[in-house]
Amino acid sequence: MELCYWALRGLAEPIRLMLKHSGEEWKDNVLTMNDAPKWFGEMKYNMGFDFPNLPFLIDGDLKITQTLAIARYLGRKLNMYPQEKDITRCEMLEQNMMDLRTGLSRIAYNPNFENMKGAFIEKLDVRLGEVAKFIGDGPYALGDKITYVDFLTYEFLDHLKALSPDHFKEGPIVEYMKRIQALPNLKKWFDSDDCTNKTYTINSPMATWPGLPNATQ
Amino acid sequence: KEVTYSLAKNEEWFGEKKYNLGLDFPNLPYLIDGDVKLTQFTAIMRYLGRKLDMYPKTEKDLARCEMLEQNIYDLKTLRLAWIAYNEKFEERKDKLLETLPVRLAEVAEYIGEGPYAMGDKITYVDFIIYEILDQIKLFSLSFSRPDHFSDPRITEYMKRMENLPNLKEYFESPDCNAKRYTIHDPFLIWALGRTTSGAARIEKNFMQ
Repeated sequence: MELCYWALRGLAEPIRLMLKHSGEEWKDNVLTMNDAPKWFGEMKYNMGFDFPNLPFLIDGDLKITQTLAIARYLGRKLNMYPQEKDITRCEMLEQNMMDLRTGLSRIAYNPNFENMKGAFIEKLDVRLGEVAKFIGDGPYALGDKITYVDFLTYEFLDHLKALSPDHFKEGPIVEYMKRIQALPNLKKWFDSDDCTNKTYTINSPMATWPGLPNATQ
Repeated sequence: KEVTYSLAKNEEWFGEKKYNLGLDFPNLPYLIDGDVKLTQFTAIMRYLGRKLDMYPKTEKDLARCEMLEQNIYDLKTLRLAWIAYNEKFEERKDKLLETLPVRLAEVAEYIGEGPYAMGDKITYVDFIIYEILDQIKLFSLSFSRPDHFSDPRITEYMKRMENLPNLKEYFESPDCNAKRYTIHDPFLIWALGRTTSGAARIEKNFMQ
């Protein structure tokens, strides 16, 4: 299995975390800014993708793009998919977290970021409250079983935390994030010297707000 | 049952209903079906797909379907809507008009002969694709790019969807939303309108 994306957290990091947690063999194909001509020039339109884009996943014959399609495919493959009774709630949370992430991108890539961030952060009171209520005591987003949506939720919450640390002092979300960080493979990863959270930006390094490593603004 | 909220009198939604319907993530659109209370467009479509037997059956089909679903939704939200609500719309629309041929060709290639996006069986994703293609078509036509919609794989696909019996009846009825509703929020910076006499553009001062 090969996952390919830029050398930043962005949309692919949740998938990387899910793969690390699973213990499955996979290749983390990372493209730096220097690789951009290679991606756009050689790779993008010559690899047989229906909808060429990043991130992409190649698993045998299957070539998938689109973050959520990849996350859901891996969820089904790696036994991290909701039971039937939880599917609808899972998809609603998945979409809600994606919405929040898109909202963050919308301001982060806007030259007017400094003027826009206040309004966005204000709305987080309500939006994060909804997520906290949904998760409750957990332990995972849907209850007892960890699923692909936990990795999307955890990672995107961490992006929001970099923007607004005040919203992440205590409460169900903070406790939830600690539990995900304590998953054995993830704990090992986060504690390691190589952990890319030390070097990767949250958005593109060229964004108005890249979300620097260990950003606390 | 269809409930619509008026944009001009949006206090009904924001003031009363939004936080009092028992929705986990209050938003529009919402769907209430017995005990099930759903928001998020994609979650609603997938739920109805499963309920109404319009859902892919095999793993391979599901993975491909979800990729198509996400790609087409990207075109709508990250491209069309992103620029429609941006005060720099005039500059950005040209860039989108440039990239559309490639993106639409990918969709045409995927659909191929069809008859439906996933082959023989109609699925929830067909309704997403049809509607979004129609919105993009209005955009392309509004800016004199009918060539974006010259690929017969796309035009024939859209015709097949429009000829589904219940939809054909709906599209021909005087109440059809496409005759009355704009694609985007008409009170924001730019929206495409459609009247019975053809495409009309509505511009409102964003600061009003």
